[in-house]
Amino acid sequence: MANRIRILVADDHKLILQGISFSLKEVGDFDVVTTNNCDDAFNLIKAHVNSNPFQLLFTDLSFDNTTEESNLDGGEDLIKAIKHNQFDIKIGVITGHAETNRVYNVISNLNPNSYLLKSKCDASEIGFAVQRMLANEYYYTHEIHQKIMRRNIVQIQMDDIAIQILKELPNHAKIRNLEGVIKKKDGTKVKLRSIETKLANLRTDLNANNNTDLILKVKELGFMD
Amino acid sequence: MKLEELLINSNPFRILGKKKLYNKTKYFIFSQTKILVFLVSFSVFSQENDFDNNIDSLAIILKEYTKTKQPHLPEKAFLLAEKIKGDSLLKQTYSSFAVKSFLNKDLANLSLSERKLHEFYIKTKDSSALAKQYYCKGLIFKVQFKPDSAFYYYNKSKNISAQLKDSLEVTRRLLSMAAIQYNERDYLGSEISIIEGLRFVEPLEEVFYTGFLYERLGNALFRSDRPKEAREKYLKFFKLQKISSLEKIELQKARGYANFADTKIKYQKARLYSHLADTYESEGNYIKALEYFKKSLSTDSIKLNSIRRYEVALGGVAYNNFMLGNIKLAIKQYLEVLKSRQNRNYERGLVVTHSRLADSYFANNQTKKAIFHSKIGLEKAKKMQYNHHTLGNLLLLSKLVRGEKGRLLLKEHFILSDSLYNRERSLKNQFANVQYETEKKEIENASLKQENTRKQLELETEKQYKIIGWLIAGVSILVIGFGISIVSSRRKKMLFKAQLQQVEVREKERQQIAKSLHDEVAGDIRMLHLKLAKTNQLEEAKSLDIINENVRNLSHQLSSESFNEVSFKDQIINLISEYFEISFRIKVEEIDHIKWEIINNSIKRTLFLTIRETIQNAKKYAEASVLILSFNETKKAIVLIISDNGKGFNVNAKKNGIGLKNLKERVEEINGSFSIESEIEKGTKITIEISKNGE
Repeated sequence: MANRIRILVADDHKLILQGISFSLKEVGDFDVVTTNNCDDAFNLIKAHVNSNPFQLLFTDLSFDNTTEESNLDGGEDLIKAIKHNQFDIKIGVITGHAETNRVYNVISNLNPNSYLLKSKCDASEIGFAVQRMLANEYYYTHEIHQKIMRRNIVQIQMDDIAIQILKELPNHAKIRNLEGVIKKKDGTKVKLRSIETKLANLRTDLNANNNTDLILKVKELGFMD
Repeated sequence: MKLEELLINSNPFRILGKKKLYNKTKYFIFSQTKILVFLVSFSVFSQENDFDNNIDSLAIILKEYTKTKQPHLPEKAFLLAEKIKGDSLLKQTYSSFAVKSFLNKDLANLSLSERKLHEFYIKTKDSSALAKQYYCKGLIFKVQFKPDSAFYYYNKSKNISAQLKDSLEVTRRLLSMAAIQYNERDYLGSEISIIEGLRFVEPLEEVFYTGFLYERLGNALFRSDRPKEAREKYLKFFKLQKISSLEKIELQKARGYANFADTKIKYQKARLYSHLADTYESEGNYIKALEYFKKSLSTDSIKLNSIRRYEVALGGVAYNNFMLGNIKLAIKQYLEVLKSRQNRNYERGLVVTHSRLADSYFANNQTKKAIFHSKIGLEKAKKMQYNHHTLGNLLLLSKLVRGEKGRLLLKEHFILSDSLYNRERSLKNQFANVQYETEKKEIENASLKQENTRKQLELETEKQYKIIGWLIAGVSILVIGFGISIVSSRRKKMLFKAQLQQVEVREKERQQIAKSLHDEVAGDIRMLHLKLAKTNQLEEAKSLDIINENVRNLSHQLSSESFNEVSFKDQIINLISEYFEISFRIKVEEIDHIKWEIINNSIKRTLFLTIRETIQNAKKYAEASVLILSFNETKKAIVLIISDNGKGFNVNAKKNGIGLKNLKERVEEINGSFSIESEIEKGTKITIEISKNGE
């Protein structure tokens, strides 16, 4: 019994709580605890840190049952508090919020292990997410992944040098040859070192394994003609 | 060395036994010193040689001119003086030659001096030169026998000297003026002038001119029938003259001259006796008068050294003899005087002597001789306007010449007498007038000056008040302007802040609505959806799903993240990525050039909403494929230009939807400017300018 994974689920709607706990039980033998507000969730995690701690937390982002007395005003606050206290717990977000702004904000600032959307979510996806989380990996549902990718593309597109590098990369056998070709707006040459850093950043942004993969991804996304 | 030893030992008490040697030594030293003195004086002399030489030669020329009366000499002297270039020397030379020219009756050179003095005054603006110039002018008129004009210029000269506080010059001028008045028989005026002169000269303790003043005063008094007082004045004159002579003796003794002035006192005494005799004569005491004249005449070698005094005294003796009945003696004496005066060419004296002789001859019944002398006297008197004797001779001649001619002469006498009387009176008046005018002018000038200074002071104070007034006005205008601008800018800022707050409040409201839409409405719909799904009402469930999606979208649109948590740039990127597609590309330019952290959140919010609205419009209605967001920052404002390549629309058309209207209102709410240009099939361009601090 001691090996059972403990999962805490926080959501303001009972139906959702029931649905999630039902789905979780469907995919594995988990010890699922539910709560409908953030303060309780935080207190539960805090109380069980030393004895029988939770391994996973699934939380919504917006709670409409928060009052003036609540300390934590929604999912973001809860995640921030946990991160602040450095509790050893993996966090997943299950929410209806799919607008890029919110998603980007949560992912870039709070870095949750998973981001699921209520509307597209089913038991098998939750199970997959739990597995990934327990393996200390990240899982964003497809729609969110797409959004983040698209955002990265937009950001890259705003970067003049990044565009130059991506356009010139297929024409040169070696990265070293790019030096002198890539120029800043004022005409000065960009050094090899900065070109390499930029490429590395592009690879991470677009989830590419290597430079060839990067170019393929860029073309696939219709970013380059 | 030897010499020194000798000097030390040259005490006569100690070297009695060596007297011979001592004497020799003494002589030796003496001769040495002499040579030394000579050498020193020579070297000093040679240094100042040129200057001294010139001055010396000036003095020589002056002396020569006095003696020889050569008319070219003054010009020569002037040229020399001008070469030396000493202002005071120049003035001195001009005036001294002027006086000499006057004494020599050299009218041309007198005028020359006057002109030179005038030029000198113009050049140097030296008022004393002007006084001298006026004096010269007076002298010119004196030579021309125009006493009134001469008097006028003397007076002018005197006034300038008085202003310069040169009392001695004033005294001299007054002396000349008194002489003119005396000659014109204005004895009272003369007396007044003299007393004025005395007033000027007395503080100086000067004796020479004071003496002359007293003499003149004596003359005036004796003429106006106050012989006793006149005698007193004459005595005083003599006393002063004696002192003056003594001073001169001292001076001359100091210079090493021998008893020169001593002889002069003698002649002054002779002068005194003559004057005293005159007073007795006027009293009718001819015996006493005769006695004094004889005393004067008996002065040692008077004929040789003071011919003038001699003539006066002899004339006086003759006259008194004549009055006492010794006519023949008188004639004899008169003839001697006449001879002497003829030699000297002393015109005035000649008139007197001729007239007196005529009288004497008349008394002696020598008619022919009487007529002869009377005619000469008349002629000369007329020439120099010696009116007293003109009249006397006319009268005498009318007595001497019988018949018609005599009658005509008598008539002439009366006419002249009348006119002379008038002239005398008018001259007196004129003299008085000249002096009175001057005094009046002085008083007027003084009061005018006072008034002038007062007025100037008033003007100045007025000016100052004006300036102060203007300054105060200017300053207050500035202060008011400054105040107004501060108040208005503050009010503007407050308004701007209020507007920004308004925007924020509305934003909160929007958030609230978004939240409740999302949480309550969407939640309820979801539950409904689940229930319907359970009861297999799939059609309804699907449509409910669409509603749910719409509500969520609406909620997302209304809600927005805080710029404090996610940067403006990131939010813009998020926004763009929401709409970004291959077929709808959005480019952003220069977003990194603006420091968004310091821009007010309400501005950012407005920009964000505007961009979102515009992107939606471009995608939905314009069907554009490219949209460019171009940011720009000026010192005071942020400029955003959004342009697309879409279908465009007619800007002037009324049906442009509430979207654009809302945008415009939103921008203008925070004092921004919103302008839109669009061309059908070409695209739309929106320019937004929002100031950073509400101005």
